[in-house]
Amino acid sequence: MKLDTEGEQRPSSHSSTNHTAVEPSQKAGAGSIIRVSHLSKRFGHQFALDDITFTVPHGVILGVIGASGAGKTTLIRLLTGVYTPTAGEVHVLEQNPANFRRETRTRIGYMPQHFSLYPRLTVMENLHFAASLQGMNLRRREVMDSLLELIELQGHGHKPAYKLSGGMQRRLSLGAALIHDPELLFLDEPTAGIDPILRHKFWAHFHEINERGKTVVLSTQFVSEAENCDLVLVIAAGHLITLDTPEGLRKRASGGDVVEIRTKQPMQAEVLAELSHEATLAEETIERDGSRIRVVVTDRKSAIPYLLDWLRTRKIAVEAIEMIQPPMDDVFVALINRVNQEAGKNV
Amino acid sequence: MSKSLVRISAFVFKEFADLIRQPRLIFGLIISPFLILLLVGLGYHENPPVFNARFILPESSSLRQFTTTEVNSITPQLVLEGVDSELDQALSLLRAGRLDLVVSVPDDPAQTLRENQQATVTFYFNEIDPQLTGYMPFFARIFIDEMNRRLVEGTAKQEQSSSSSIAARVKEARDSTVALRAALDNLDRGATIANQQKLTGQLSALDLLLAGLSGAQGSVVPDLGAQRAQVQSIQPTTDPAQIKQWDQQLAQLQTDLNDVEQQLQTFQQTSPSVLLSPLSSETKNVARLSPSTTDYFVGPVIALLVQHLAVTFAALSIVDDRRLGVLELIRVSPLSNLELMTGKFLSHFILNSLIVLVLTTLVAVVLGTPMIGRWIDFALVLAVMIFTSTAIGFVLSLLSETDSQAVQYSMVVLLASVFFSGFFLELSALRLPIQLISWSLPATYGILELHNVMLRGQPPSAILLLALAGIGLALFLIALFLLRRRMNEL
Repeated sequence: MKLDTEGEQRPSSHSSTNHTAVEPSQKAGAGSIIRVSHLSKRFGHQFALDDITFTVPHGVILGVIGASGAGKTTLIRLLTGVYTPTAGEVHVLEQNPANFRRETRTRIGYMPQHFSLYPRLTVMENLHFAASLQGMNLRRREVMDSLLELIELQGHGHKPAYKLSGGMQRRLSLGAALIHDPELLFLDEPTAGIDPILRHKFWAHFHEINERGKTVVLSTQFVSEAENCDLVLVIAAGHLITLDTPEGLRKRASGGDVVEIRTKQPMQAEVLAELSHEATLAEETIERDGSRIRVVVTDRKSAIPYLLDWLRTRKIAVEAIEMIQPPMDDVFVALINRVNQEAGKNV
Repeated sequence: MSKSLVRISAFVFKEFADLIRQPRLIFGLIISPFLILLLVGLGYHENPPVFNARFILPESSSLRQFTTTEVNSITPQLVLEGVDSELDQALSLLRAGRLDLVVSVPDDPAQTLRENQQATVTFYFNEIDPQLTGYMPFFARIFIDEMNRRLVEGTAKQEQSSSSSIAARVKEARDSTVALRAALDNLDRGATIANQQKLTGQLSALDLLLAGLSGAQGSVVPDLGAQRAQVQSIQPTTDPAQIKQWDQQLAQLQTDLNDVEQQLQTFQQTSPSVLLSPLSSETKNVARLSPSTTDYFVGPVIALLVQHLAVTFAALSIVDDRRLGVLELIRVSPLSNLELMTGKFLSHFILNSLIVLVLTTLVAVVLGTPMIGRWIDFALVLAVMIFTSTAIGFVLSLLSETDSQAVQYSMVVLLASVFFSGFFLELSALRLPIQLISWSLPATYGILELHNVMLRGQPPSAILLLALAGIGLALFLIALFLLRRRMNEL
């Protein structure tokens, strides 16, 4: 599948995928912080990532979503300079990550997928180690205290890391990545293996960081977490499916906005047939469940007044009309299905 | 503090914190080697091996009595378990491990001697240790030399005893010579004839006796046979010229007999052992110290331990970081490869130095190991050793994929050091190409230099230290290159 810069899908499986991120919100800064062009990474004969192109603006939370083995970690490692590309170009903070300057590295925070600190060292010692790696001043007591508070590990500072629970270890890793207050934060599956409450807290941290103008790039297997991102990059089997806002993803998955109309009485079949030909509908597809109808519209803002007017004209009593936001899991499945269908058509 | 120093210090603090949380490791690193040294010191004795021996001689052998009485006193290394005539039975016991030595003496050694051949005594032993196998011919030769000496000493004593009667006969002959000269001078016909016959007989007997003794006393015996013929020709005469000629001959005989008497006296007064072994040996060590075996091995053991600790620690270090995923974090951090390697080196250097300090203090205080050189030289040698050993460890670590592989490599280095460093086998016993392995091991330099400093009181060889440091530097650069490659291959 191939998407152009406007996000239009083009049936071209295993070929270049170009994405300039849609402006997610007003908070995104000027210019791109990440530029990836025709990026491929191969291990032996196996492509982990194949011909990926996208850009990410400053100051956003970018979620990299995909199934296990889709290439999320490989992408994060390419962006941080852990891996060097087999082909293509990567620019992060205007530099090739493989040759990051020292000053550039101090602007980056990285939390690997697995706990990557020293298990016999205490929480404080591990944080001091991370701080020293960044060349931070040895008088860092205040920073440490506030960081421990942020990652909610106060009172555990002298506990060896191996005695921490999985969730606490993830928080410690996050602390190590945040210790030098980086401008750009890469988090590889930060919420994997932790309970929903802690996951919620993590997301609160990420938003807090983001609100301070930092860019956060994180990968996750939890598709529902895409909701929390400004931008979502969906990859499957090493290919970029799309890069869009969560809202944009829904549109892509459904073909437009989904509007649910509940009428007092079930609608007649001929009325439904008439409705399906209305220009405001993105597709002909109409789901019906008794007096409840779901339609996909091209633009919800103009479509809802139009639909209300259309129903009123036909004297159909409306109980409610509202935007439906399908769960991200459904969106993800729908997107993958669409890609597979397109690939099938191409074949 | 500069940022670079802060980054480097991260590893020093990390290694310390990591180590103090592992008391068992500290025990293993410091106390165990010390305890081993202590036990070796307490348990090792420097006594030579003792052999339980059975001698095989025919029942009728003249040496049987000698063996029974003398063998046990020849050397404490040989304990006579018994004397027997059955060789096969004794060899069975030897093979069964119930005897250490079977010494077979020929049936009739006297007959062999009469045939102008040495009689061979055979030492049978049952040994697989190459050192003891090599030692046995040496032991046998020393033992037989001593046995020969004692046998000949007995004979010499007998000859000394018999030489007393010869001396009396010499005195009688000399008296007869004096009497004969007086008779000739007095023109006493009867006395001349009587003394001439008496002297002739005495000289004949002496000629025979002295011939048997001459070999033993080792001196020049005058030709009494010729002089006896001259005496035999003396007759009563009044011719003054003839009398004068015979008197001169008899005066010469008298002098010769005096000499023989003197030599016999010397022979009798000389100790048989001096007589048979006129030369003895002694050794004087000009070294400032003659250390015990335990003291001698303290330096090599420290050298070997220091190398093994440094190599193993370093070998596990980067493999551990890779396994834990820390290298990935480091790859993204502003830490350069040089800073990483320097930090690792520094931390390992300090840690190993502390361990060696504690170990050395324990060895010096508790074992009382001698140290006649300067401590600063001792520290310098170990510092260079730690540097190069750490470099070896890092190279191994960067070549290893897993912990167990790193440990295996370290063990190979240890094994090579035991055999090639001069710890176990002398360097001079190794052929030149193999010595190249020796000179690539820090332990080789350490053993030589620590011996020089600790036991000879000499400063370390600058050339050797520079060579060792050069190897360390080259390995450091290789490690840096391998690290860069590893980092790019993450």
